Amino acid sequence: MSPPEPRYREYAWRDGREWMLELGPENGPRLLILPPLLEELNRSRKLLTDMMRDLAVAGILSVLPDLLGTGESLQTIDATDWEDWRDAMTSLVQEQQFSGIFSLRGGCLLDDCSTVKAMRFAPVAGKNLIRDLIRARGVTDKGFDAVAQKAVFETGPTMLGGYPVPVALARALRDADLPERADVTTGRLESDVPDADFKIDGTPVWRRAEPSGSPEFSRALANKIVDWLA
Amino acid sequence: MTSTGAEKVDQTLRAVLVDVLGLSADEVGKFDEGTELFGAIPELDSMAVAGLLTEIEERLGIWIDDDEFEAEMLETYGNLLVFSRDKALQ
Repeated sequence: MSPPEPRYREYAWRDGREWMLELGPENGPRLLILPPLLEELNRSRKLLTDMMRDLAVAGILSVLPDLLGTGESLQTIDATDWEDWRDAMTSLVQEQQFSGIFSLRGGCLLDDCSTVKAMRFAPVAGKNLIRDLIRARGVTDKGFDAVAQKAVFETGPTMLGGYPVPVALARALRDADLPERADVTTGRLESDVPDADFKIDGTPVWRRAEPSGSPEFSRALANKIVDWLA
Repeated sequence: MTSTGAEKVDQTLRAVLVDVLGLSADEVGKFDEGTELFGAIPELDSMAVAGLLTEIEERLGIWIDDDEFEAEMLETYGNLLVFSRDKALQ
């Protein structure tokens, strides 16, 4: 059997259009994937696209949108704020009929864009994400001291994980908690300490320097999603 | 400091290195106090360091303040182990 053909499509939001990757049979149940935010997105993309291939083989159509200012977006990150991300995802779910939302890491912070059932994997609060990014810069940049770290939320934009993150986005991210919503199931890695509805023996690819993916992990996620959508 | 507590910190650190950096358990099992980490292991870039510290915090139930963090603690496995033991078993 030949591998499923990826389709690059556009979705509309406010006055703009952004890309999304679509994979799987047109008549299948549609799954929206909310990817991790900023640098974690880059490290997780292979995991997600491998998962999309596995889902396509199982008859599920999945959609991976570019968040504004990240991925292949035409908009720059310094012109992007938190409400743009929220509005863009809200527009996308209004434009298309999804059977469920799967979100990974920081993507979980946006999954109240719709009331369809949601699966979160390794969810993380915004303050932990921004702390990781600030710490990562502090490890290698001696000049990135307490004053410079404070400036992330006051004067910015600040280079964090390769993105010039503007002040408003940094603040919104710091204050973003996981949304309260109905019909949500949460998964975590076996090695994670907090409780979860299910656990998968995978590796935290979003922390890895080399974006090589993990076929066993993406397959396990896809299997979980297939059962959950059935 | 009890020896079992100290051993548990050692095991936890090795598990974090395997999980976060994708190193093999065999390789990490051979790490000793003098094994160089940051700058010597290509998988350990700055984002991975941040992830490593977060995982260590979560799994050992400790909190590392930013002003406690010094690059020296990641120079060798021994330095990281001493720091983590001091924090976890104090």
